[in-house]
Amino acid sequence: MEIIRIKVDVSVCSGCLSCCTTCSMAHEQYISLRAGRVSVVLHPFESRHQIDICRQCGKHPCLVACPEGAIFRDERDIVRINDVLCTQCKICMDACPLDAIFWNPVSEKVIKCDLCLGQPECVQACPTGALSLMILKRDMRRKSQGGVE
Amino acid sequence: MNTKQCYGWTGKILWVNLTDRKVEIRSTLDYGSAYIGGRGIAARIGWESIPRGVGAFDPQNILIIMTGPLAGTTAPFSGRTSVGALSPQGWPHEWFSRSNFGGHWGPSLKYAGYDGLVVEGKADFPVTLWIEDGKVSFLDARHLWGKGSMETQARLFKELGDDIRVLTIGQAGENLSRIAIITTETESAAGQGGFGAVMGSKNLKAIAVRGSGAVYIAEPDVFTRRSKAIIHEVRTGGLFSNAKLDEQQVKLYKQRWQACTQQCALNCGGGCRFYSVQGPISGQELRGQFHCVSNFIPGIPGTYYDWKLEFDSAFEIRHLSDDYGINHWDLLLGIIPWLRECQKKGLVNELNGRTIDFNNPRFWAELLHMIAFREGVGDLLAEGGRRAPDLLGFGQEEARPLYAAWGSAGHWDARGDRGNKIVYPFWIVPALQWAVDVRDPFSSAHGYTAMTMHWSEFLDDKHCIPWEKIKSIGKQIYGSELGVDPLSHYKDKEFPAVWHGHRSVMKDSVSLDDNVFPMLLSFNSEDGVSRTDGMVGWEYEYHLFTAATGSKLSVQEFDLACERIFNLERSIQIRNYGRSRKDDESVIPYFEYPEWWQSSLVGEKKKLDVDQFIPLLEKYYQLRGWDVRSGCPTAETLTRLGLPDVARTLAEMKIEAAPEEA
Repeated sequence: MEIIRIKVDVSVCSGCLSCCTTCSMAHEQYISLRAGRVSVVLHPFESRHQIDICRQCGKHPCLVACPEGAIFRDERDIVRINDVLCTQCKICMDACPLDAIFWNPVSEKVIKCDLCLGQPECVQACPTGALSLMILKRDMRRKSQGGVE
Repeated sequence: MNTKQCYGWTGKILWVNLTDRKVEIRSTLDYGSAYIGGRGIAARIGWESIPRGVGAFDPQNILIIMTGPLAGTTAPFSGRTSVGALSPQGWPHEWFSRSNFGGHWGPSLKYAGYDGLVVEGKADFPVTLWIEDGKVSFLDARHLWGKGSMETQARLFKELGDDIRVLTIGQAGENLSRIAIITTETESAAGQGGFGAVMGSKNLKAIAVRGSGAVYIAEPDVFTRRSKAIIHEVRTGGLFSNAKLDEQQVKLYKQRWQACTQQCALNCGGGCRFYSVQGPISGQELRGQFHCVSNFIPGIPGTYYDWKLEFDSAFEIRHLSDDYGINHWDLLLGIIPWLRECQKKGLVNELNGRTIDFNNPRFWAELLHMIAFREGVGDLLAEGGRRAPDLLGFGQEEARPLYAAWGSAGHWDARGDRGNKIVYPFWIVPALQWAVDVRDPFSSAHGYTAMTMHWSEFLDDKHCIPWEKIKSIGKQIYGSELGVDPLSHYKDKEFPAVWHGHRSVMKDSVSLDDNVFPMLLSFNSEDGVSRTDGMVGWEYEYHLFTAATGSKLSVQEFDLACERIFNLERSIQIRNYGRSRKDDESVIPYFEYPEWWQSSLVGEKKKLDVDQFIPLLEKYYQLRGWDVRSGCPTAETLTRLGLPDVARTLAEMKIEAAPEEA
């Protein structure tokens, strides 16, 4: 089975926010920058914006920190939140070293990237290649488990 | 925060009175279907709230900042916002005019829960209006007064958080320059109109927004499908696809892409790029966007812009101008070429004791400073390039070939604007558009010139759409092949002039980018027509609008709304300033200068032929349902457009029959 990851190249990000809005629309059917599973912090006076998105990292500190066992790694190696078990305690948000787990104030839920379960909408929306798709073979997974990028 | 009651819209307009610091909420839906969005709603509010006799700097002038139903959504190229108010730059009257800006401010206002903002009155000391989702407050901005646009934004980020968006003015706006802009980020601005000075006159330094809420869509699946299809179409079949970064510039200046508006879906060939540059004047590292008319700053040999500045100097000049908040268009297509012509003729050699030298970046820096702070002759230059020659008492003759009309320097007219190539007969439609407007029409009306100059062999004879196909598209959208025929002279030019006038209104209202819309042509189809997902190119705006809002308007009713808005704007000028056919005809002398380029198919340089243009203007009036003698929409036309109240007002003023005003 192929393992997919989103690769981030912040040096070409144009700040269009299409990734954030498209993600929000795909997951929630409405558009809010706070409902995207990817966040772009715009720095209009700097040469780089900041893109926060889960890399499905091998150390998965969120999964370890979750007191409810609501975070799990699925068969496609995607770290996901089980909405039924999640109590919205936000402990995982603090545990994530990439600040890539978010609070959606509209739905009042903790959210994170689930790679759209295979075809990430943000990657298709991104015009510049700041977000792109990496396909890893199973046996390469260990390499990607070295920790956060 | 928004509630899930409105689609596309948030449903609320914030109405702020700075004099008594009162804030009211009005319903967008009172305007929504009849006026479809930003520019349209602004026109209605302008009609209802700015009576005859009010001046641009009076507290009674209202500043209307309106997004559209597509702003903040996933519609491609949709993040823009419209500004409307009496315009300090307007000439010979301070017309009710409009401008439009990109960036991310408008979408955030929507997420905060508001479709737009109306500001009236005047604060007793400088304030920042702070909109934090549902909460609105007035912050003391005395410590920001006197600061540039960039520092103001940076300080507000520090004070309020770096996730906010800020709309602000620089020193030019504070000092009431008639060419002051309203800025957000580094180079997104409501540039034309002098609206920065309207903010300045109200003691309103900035409007900061934090939006955490949502915009809802009536038919999310349909909307997403259509948006994606249009994105695919523009990326694969459009003019602006496949641009690349310049490796040298990446290395030297960290060049990267820069979306000029939220939801830009392209590696834009339109030229928006972001750079980090060591400023040769200040020695400081400057970062920002460099695009559009800024590309004139380095100079263009053999034109009005015949000087030479290195990129890093040009970049710093851009930075200073944006920071002070000075209109690039008036500067680069007006004041600077005018000064250059005057210098050539020996009418002026120095300004405030400094020798005029356009090859010297320090001269530019000092010029900008004197305009922003109104120092010495800068006080008169700050009145804008249309007014300055009269005030200074020289160079009136030299200004004439540069200023097309209404206080705006030429643009897409083959004369004053010598950066955008356009040839006979394709500047005849622009001449009509200039005639009936109150500002430079072309910030949101590139559609016709793009079709005839960019998609045709005139830009690239290998990668182009043949004339036969362009003419066939003309037939389909205007009902006339001749409207876009390179050998058609004056025939049928009224049809594209009316059609693109409405398109301009449409884009500025629903909020879509002018560089991409209307998407009429495509390299993907046999017949050159842009089509996708069962939609034809000239109806993309409509299909995005209806899927977003759930509106049941037909295509015809949607077009009619644009016509309504166009006529309402005209009616405001008639009621407030007695606008008439005589005013419209005042553009003729400008177009009697010969064209700058010439069509390879026509073989000679042309100038406007009054004997053909006057009948064309009359045909234009007739097509619009305007009285041919006065240029005023007839009562019948206004009633047909659902504006019987406007018809009554104009009739009571007896304006329709009395065009002869000085």
